[in-house]
Amino acid sequence: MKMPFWIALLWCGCLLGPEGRAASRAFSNPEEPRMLIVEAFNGSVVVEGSDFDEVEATIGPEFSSFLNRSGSRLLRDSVATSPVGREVSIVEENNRMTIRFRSKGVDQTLKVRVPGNVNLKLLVRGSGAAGVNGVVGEIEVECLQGGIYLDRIQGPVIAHALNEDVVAKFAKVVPGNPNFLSSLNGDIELVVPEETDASFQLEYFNGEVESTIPLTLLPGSDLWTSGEVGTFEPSRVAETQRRAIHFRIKNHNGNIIIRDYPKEEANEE
Amino acid sequence: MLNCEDVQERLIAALDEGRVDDGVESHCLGCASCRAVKSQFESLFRNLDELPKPPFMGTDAFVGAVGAGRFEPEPSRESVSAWRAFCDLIARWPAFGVEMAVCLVGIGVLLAPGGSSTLENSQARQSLELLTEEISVLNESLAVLRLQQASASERLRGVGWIEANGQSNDIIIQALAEVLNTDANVNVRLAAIDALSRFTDEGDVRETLVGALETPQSPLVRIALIEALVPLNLPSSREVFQAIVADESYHEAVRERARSALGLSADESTGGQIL
Repeated sequence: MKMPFWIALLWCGCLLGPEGRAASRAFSNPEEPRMLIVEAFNGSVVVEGSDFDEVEATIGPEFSSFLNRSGSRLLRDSVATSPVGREVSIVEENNRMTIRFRSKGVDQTLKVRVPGNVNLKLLVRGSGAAGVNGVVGEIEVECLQGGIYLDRIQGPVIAHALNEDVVAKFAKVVPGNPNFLSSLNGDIELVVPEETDASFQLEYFNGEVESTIPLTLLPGSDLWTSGEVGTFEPSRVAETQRRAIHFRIKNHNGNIIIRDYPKEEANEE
Repeated sequence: MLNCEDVQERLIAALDEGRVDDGVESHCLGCASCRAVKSQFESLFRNLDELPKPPFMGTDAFVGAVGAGRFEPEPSRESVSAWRAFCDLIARWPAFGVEMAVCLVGIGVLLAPGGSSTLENSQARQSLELLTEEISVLNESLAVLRLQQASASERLRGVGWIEANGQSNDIIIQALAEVLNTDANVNVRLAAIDALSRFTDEGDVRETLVGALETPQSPLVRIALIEALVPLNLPSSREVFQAIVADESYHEAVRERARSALGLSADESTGGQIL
């Protein structure tokens, strides 16, 4: 059936609506270290590392749960997105780019495609979650209400979630970098390639520690004991002998889970 | 078989190349003095190599920024050559340059022919002690410099070094207090609490920890502060705990810890594990 002219015009208008194209920006000097700061005041954020030099921001529907406890790759499928409007501002100066996102509703996700080796600081101040996939630079993430899900990363990673889980799956762990994961109310799950020679400093209060990696604890470490009735019981601390790859994990109400996965799977990443 | 003088001559060059030969290693295994010097130098070279790279700026802009005190190195995961980092540090911190000059004088005294032919010589021993102390001061300066970096991992590295190696002095304590009260990152503040907890014999540190409870903090930081203060049993901290328990604007987990610290309602604490 022949489309009436006015319908075709309306359809074209929708394609070229007031939002226009995706917001994108380049760093001043791609050859120098690059810093990306993403601040979300509402809504969730997903940051995907790529081979592109430009940063591109789009908006998508609600952030679905990316957690996969079987250990397979997280954040595998991209959510469908639409162009951004005034919800997003991008400013770049001297290789330091800041993206601010104010979602129109709590069910929106900002998706940011970035160069894979950028250093990232991600702050989700509202009710959303934070996801990072394939970024191999330094990652600093704080999430007020939602969870933090990190996949195919290398560290250093410094992540704090106030009220949800922190999941960090490393494709490779770079020695010598400090890694610190913390949560007040939520589980913390650390996944590393098998045979990663790492040490751990674990602090937890109301929860348990599970590990598929054997932990040879230092004297004085406290994994399974409980305190005496009526006494103030501080957080339990369990430490292994310090190595070049070191993880510090601090949890208050939640479990600490440490897993490793086969190297063949790491090589496929 | 190498003697101490031979080792001293070879050590600096070897560490700069990143390779210490077997002769030096085996001497250090048996000589406590040389082992201490080697350890100090290794720490210094490691710190210099890990310094962040300055931002990319045109020369005029860079000189202007340094002169105006606006120099803020950008975070970088790439290692910087030790010499470049050394020059940048001296440009920024003239005092550091003075300290390095003292170190170099100390090295010169040690290596000068006839000046220190054997470590049994008391003059050489004093020079070595001076050198060791200066290197320690340098490492401390580098750690404090790290606390001012834009990168959270660099700040965490600085706090980590202080916790493992730092001596109690005003500069260190003041630097850690500033991190605890003003750092933008929750985990860096948590690490600062652990570092400060090493120095709780100092009155300033105890006051700093109590004062930090009353400043805006993440709930997890407040809980860590409560846990650090309980063993000290300070009257001032008990007052703050009471205020927290009475104030419903505090996070419930924080109020619960404060309650537990005061010995109130013990049956309300953690999921059955403590009780």
